[in-house]
Amino acid sequence: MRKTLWMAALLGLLAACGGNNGGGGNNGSSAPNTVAGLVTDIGTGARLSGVKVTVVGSSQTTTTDSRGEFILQNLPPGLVKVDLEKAGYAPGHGLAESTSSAQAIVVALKKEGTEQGYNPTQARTLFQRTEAGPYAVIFQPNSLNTADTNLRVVVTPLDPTKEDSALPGDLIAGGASPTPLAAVTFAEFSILDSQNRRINLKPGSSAIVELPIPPELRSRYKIGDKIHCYAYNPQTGRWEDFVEGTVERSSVDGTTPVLRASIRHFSWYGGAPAVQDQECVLVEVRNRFGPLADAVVTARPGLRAVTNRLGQAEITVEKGVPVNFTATKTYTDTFVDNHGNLIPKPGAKVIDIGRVYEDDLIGLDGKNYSRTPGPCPGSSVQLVRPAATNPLPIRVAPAPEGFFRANALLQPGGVAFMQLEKGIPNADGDLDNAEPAAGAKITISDNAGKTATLSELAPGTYFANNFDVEPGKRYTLNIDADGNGSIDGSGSAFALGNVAWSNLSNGGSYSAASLTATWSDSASAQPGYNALYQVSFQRNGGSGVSDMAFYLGSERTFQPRAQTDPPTPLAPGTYTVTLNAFCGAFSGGNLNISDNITGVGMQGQIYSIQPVNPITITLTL
Amino acid sequence: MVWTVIRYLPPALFGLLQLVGCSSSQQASHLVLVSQAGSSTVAVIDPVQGRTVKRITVGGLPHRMILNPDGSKVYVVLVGSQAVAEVDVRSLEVFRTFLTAPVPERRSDGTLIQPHFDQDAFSKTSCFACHNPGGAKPFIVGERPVGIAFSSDLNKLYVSHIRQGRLSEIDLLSAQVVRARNLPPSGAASEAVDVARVGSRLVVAMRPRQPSTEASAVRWLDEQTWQTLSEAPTGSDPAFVLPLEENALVSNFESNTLSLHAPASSPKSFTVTPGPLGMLKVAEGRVLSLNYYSNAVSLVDLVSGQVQNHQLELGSRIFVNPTHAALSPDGRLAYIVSSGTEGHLVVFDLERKGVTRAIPIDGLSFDVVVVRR
Repeated sequence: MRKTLWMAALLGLLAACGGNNGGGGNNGSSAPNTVAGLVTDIGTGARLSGVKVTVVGSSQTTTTDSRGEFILQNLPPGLVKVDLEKAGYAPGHGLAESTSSAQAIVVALKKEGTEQGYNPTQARTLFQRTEAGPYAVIFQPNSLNTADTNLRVVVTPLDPTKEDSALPGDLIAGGASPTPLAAVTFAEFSILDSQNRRINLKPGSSAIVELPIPPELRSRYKIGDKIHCYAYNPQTGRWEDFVEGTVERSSVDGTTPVLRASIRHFSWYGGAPAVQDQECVLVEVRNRFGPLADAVVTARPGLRAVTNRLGQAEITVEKGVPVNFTATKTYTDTFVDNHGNLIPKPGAKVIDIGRVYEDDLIGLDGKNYSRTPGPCPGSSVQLVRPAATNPLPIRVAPAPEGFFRANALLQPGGVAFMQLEKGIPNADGDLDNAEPAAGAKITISDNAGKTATLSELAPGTYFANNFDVEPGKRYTLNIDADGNGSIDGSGSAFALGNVAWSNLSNGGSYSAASLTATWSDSASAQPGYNALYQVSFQRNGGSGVSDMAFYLGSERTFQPRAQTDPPTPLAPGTYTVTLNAFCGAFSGGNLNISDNITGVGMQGQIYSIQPVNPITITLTL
Repeated sequence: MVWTVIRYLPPALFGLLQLVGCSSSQQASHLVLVSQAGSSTVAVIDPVQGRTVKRITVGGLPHRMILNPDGSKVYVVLVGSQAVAEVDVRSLEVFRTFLTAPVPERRSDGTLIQPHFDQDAFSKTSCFACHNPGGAKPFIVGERPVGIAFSSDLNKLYVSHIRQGRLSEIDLLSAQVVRARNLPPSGAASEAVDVARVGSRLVVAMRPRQPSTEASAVRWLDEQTWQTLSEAPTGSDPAFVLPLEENALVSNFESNTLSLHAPASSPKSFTVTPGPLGMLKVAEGRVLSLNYYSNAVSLVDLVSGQVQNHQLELGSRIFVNPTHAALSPDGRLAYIVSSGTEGHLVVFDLERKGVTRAIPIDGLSFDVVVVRR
């Protein structure tokens, strides 16, 4: 009997680990009609326990465990839609197929915005401000489907250039010939009554919403442009109610470019035009043993595909823009032992996750990955390419158990430098008991074929040798935080251009009444480039309201004025004038900007800073 | 005689014959053409086979379509390419395209558009020649033509534009714009969102830039002179004008009504379920309203004022966001475009008043016409 058990275990081990030649030995066991899931916090990357998971259209529910994971079994075949609820977070939604092989739902939840009171008998504009600008909803009186006059409105903004993994469902115009949608700006609108029930618009009533265009996309979407808008329908798992919105100036602050549109149903809502310029990319999903069949690959902006027996899939993506690829492979009755081997164990669930962020498919290793213009032929049948092709590799492994935080600096004309810490995220998203994270594998690319692997100078401190950061170029980091072969987080940012004063010089004398300070940035014409400039005028020895002026914004011109009502010219005198430029995500210098390195179990910021030497000038009457 | 033979066939063989009869080799007497805005194509659907048998690339953002009276040509308005594509029904190919407004030399800020000179854009017949997937950016360009109607003599097309409220007249023989005018706004309503011809008059629906709560206008013009004859206010977002004998029926997308307009008289209003967009005349005095936001249709009796609403569902499946519909040749079925991100051509039985079938098409599709095979 013991011999039989030993043989069975050995056979199981061989079946799970043996070979990577397409025979299926590397694929572990995977139960049919099963969906496993992992839920994290988009702000910290932390796994979220106690999230209520409900299968839409059925009574089946479960809750995420202490590792943020759940499993749903014996599902009917077809599309599985789940709703995810946790107090303090905007509603989340996920999709997977219930099919012959288990699939995974990996969803990030976003902490909800601030609650605001509202009496629905009144017309009112409510908004939530972020670094991108005010996200607003404009109510007509008596347009909500309730008699309750004590409502709470929650607007949860979402910037898809940084937080796309919190967007529900697939951003796809599906049907006979699927087309990806390119996310521009989104928010979730929740209206709650006194009994905490969700309230919506009366049938036939509408409201107007305004969603800021993310700074990174403002060069692409101009005032007057039309953008397609959609509302997410949790019942169908699709984005619906397509209408056109218009890019206009915010009615709240009068300056921020916002997408203004009509909304008929409060849910997740936003703008996402259909992607016209598409290409078909060949990807290969592998774990440490080899290619993986039945792995699910999603691309943003792009479609979804499932790998064939050689671990390959063709997937349609938007051409010429950064694309996030995420691959998941789900084992439902297999586990990984301490040596990394897949061991069959009924009841276990393992989700391998891998990500690749590519600004351009030249790739981090400088290779041109196999791709062809236009959408992939036939969405259901995945072709097996000849061996000469060069598929984009996506390496998957179990998501890290710890939480990592990255802080990366791009020094224009200098170096790339990164610190990586591991710890336990607290409610603010900071790490408690943080320790340097050693052994990470980090690569940097200029998205034009130049690439480097960062060296570890000291535990948790990484540095790119012989890699000059060029001003005005965009750089991408892909981070394998635990060094297990799969990318855990990624992000990108521009290195600042060369910033200099245009019309001010040290020792110069200017009229306080007519001075408009201007400065130049050599990278300002780059598509997607969005620097913030911080300018201060401080009269030497002065501390009154007419002795100082301050600017923070993305324009490259500033008329210094005292903060009086109405604003008046600064007092004559000698002033110290400073100019600092920032690019990417940065928390410091009175700036607090959303993270731009994201992943499962990790979060962080990549940024570039350039202080211009302070100058002294004289302002005259 | 044939029927007699069939009656005495063994049941199993009879079933086999039925299967053969329903197999994909059977062809419909007509085809259904659907404009697929997301993929720059018109889908050709065989309603018997229940599938798209051909995709015709026509240009950017194809929306409204009209069939000429002899059924030989379909005109497809290319909202994103400032053009109309003429599709030959026999070959199911684009026969020609024509611009609905001139190719501009300068941008709105006054700067020269040098590529238009370098690539001789002024000789092109559709902006899609250059502004196509993989081509010049941006993909969507121009004055955004939307509405379309035939002239009384059927030799010209009238095309309305969203930008600048432009109305163009296109000679079908020369394929040239022979007359164009920016229509004066009515209050905030400056976008000419649709045009229809009612006898010797044109009816233009003017709306403010959306979203808006301000009033729109239905304007009657003399077809020959384009002089304004009369004007009446309507809901803030008129979507479509359906010509009906001496009247024009306007769908008001935001206020959930259809309004029946006659020149110089007060419109009569019919309330339907939220989001009326396209309309289809299904019998004398009866129209089908496609109600986008409510995933439903309304059968409206314009004489009695009676309105019957029907959800677009089959089993547990709901077909969302209906936009336009076309009648089958026998008048018993309405082919309805369900234009959600998961697109379907929904077959609606007008007698049973329910969905009988749904055929997958591209998401974000828009208009539909039926043509002879």
